[in-house]
Amino acid sequence: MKKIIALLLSAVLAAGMLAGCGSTPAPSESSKAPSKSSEPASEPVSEEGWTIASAEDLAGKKIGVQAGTTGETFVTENITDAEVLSYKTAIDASLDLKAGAIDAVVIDELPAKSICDANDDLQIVDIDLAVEEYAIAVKKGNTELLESINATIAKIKADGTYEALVAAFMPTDGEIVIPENKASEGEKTVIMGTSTGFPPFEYTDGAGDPVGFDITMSQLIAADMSSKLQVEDMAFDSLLSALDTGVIDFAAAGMSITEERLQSVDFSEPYYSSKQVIIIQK
Amino acid sequence: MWWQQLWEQIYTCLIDKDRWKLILEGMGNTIIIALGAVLIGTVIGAAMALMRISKSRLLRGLSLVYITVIRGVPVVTQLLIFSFVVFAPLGWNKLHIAIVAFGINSGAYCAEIFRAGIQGVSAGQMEAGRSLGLSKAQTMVSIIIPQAFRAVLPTYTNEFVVLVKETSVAGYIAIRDLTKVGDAIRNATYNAWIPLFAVAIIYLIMTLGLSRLFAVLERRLARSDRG
Repeated sequence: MKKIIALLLSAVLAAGMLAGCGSTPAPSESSKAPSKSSEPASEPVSEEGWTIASAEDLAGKKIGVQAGTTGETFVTENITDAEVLSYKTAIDASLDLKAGAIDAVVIDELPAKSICDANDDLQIVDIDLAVEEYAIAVKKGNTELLESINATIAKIKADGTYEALVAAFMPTDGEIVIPENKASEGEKTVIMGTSTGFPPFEYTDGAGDPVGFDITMSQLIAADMSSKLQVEDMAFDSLLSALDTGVIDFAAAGMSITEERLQSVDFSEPYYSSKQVIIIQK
Repeated sequence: MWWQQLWEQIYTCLIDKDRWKLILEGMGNTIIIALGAVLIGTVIGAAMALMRISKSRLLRGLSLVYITVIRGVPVVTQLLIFSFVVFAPLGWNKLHIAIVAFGINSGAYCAEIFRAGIQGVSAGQMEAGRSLGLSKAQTMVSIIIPQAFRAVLPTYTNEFVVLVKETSVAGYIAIRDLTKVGDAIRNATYNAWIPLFAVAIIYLIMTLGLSRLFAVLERRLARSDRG
């Protein structure tokens, strides 16, 4: 009798797991949805007929964000009655969005595009939420490193390397070509902190070290300092304390300049302008 | 065919783009941390256990404080404290920090396990040893500890197995352990099922293997019970 009950329970568990395995959502009959998933729709309609015309439409919804990001701050401070769920990465949030556990994800524009490119059932809603600039963070008072970083940023913007980087990682035809690593030699080592799961700025591609816009740029910074670059991949919300305690020398992780962050770290010159967008199901 | 779809998913998540190498790297790091931590933990545990039952109030107090504090704080918090507050400013390698942190944590649990084993040996053994003219230390080494060792083996195996699984939080300090690697693959492929199940199965194989090894050891030690 006991064995039969045990077998029944395991069968029910296994059936339940397999039922959830690899389910593909039915294609929605949205009349206004664009053909390319990464293009923002003018008036997007989700399966349940939920429209987002402005930020107020997010009120009272379950919104996924990445812990420690400006998206999280924006939603917490500006959207009334929203249930804010903080994930380790925007990709984890999107997985829950696909499963229908949350209503929307608020994250920076480029990772959102990358996520929607890879997932046919998600789309971007591009309304003016928050505009921000990415910069590299160093420990407060580390002026020497800051000057070196600013010098490199100014140099690559002036000599065309910056445009080449943008073209490499945000290509118009969709194929990312990862530039060669320029900073594998050097007597000293400079440690850079980042948080993968944020394509195309930092992500894992295959078995090697993390790659991405921020990483290639950091390689250029290290090369200018005649140092080797060491990449430390940690949770986004651990980066600032890692800077503070000296675990890393600088942080390049698509991090936006905010008043709050300026109180604990110093930022370099901005190197990219971005904005927050919303991802919803189609 | 559902198995075709499944195979495609497995291929994308585990084989494509050398992802299996990533998994091997993760497995390697997990094993290194677990082995290193268990060695440190056993040594610290043995020392603390003996201190706990010593005659000196100071030694007893010290070991009690150590055991209480380490057992009372979550291992993640300890790992973060050791990494961000204690060792990173000294510039230690991430892997070494993790081994030391998990070792110190394991030491507290091992201490209690060993103490239970030693105190579990019947008091008559110590009396018999002393009456034979052996000193306290000699009795401990020749009579008490071998018996205690056999008694604690199951619990010690358990501690080792738990340690292997506890290392899954090493990703918090930027170490590419098995769980972190599963996360990385999940982020790259947007597929939650295959990486998570693969990582789970690998952990299961590792812990089963360990348990089997210790079971063999137990059986060999139990041979002395016959005849």
